[in-house]
Amino acid sequence: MTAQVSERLIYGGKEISLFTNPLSLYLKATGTCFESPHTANWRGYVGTWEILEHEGVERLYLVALSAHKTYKEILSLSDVFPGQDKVFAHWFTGQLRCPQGAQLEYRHMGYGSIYEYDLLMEFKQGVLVNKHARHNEVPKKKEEKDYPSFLRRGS
Amino acid sequence: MDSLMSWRPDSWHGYLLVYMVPGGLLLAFFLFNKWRERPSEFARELVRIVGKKISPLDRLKEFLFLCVAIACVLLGWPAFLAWLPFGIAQDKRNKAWQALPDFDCAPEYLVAQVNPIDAEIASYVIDPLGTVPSLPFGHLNQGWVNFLADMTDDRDEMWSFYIPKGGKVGKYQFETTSETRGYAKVRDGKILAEFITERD
Repeated sequence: MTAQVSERLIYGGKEISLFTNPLSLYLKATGTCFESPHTANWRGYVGTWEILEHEGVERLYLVALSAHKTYKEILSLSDVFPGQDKVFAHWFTGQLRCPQGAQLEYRHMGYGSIYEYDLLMEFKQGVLVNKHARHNEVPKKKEEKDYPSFLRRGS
Repeated sequence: MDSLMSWRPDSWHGYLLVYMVPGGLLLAFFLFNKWRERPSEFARELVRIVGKKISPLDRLKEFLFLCVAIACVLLGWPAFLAWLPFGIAQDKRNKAWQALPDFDCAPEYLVAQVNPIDAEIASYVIDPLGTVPSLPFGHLNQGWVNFLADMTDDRDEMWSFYIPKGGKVGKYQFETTSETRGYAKVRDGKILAEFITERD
């Protein structure tokens, strides 16, 4: 599977990559689906998210959307959520992962690539409850001897 | 036909032939099933394109394997016949399992039976920026409406459920990466539908 184009998160005035799809539960619950325009975007959309603070509480909002209704026809946020210029992701409980720094290892699969740091943000019903960074290391390369004998390359 | 009916084995070859008749019928049954479940033309073409080249040696091995398999069925048919009901039952069970709907919720995650009105009252979302519609479950309202519309039988019960992070879900028992909450339609202890209200 090809590495997937990430969601976007506006955080601290900067737009960074987001390796989580907070919109997926909404799409499943409402039976909405989009068409994949290419193999690097099987979900068929890219959302831009922002954490907005109000009276000391930070909430996750979807602020822009580019979704393929068909290969050529692209829907925006107001097409999917009529009359809305932002959408509070009140259904989202879990962790957002934002890769930071240099790419340590490319993985040709989903959001599998490894970066120097992951900025991890915990949400409860769309409200930010915790955040921390995780330092990643270059994964140890697997050698032939690390594989069981039946999976080793033949001589 | 008469001569065939009046034929009696008079040597060990004849007795062996008679012994192998049920094996031949069983073999025909296996081959018919194999033919019925053969891959489509498209799948065969795909395998041909991506697969490795088949050498004459590979073909010879395949032929020898087929000969051995046929001999096994012809001679060892009582064992195959004894195994057949189990194989058919296993196949039926596999097909039934494949046809089952795949829900995150399982009976062990059910919390309490809930009145739909109480569920709606508890579902309104507070958003100071006013981006959430004043409807039960906010942006997920359509999913809730669909879920309620499916509760048509008097025996249907609505239960709330909670799956902790790391809980095993679905037919393949994947671990959840976040807490999951929602409502399930339950009938006679079986989960027939679910509506997830929060998850990652």
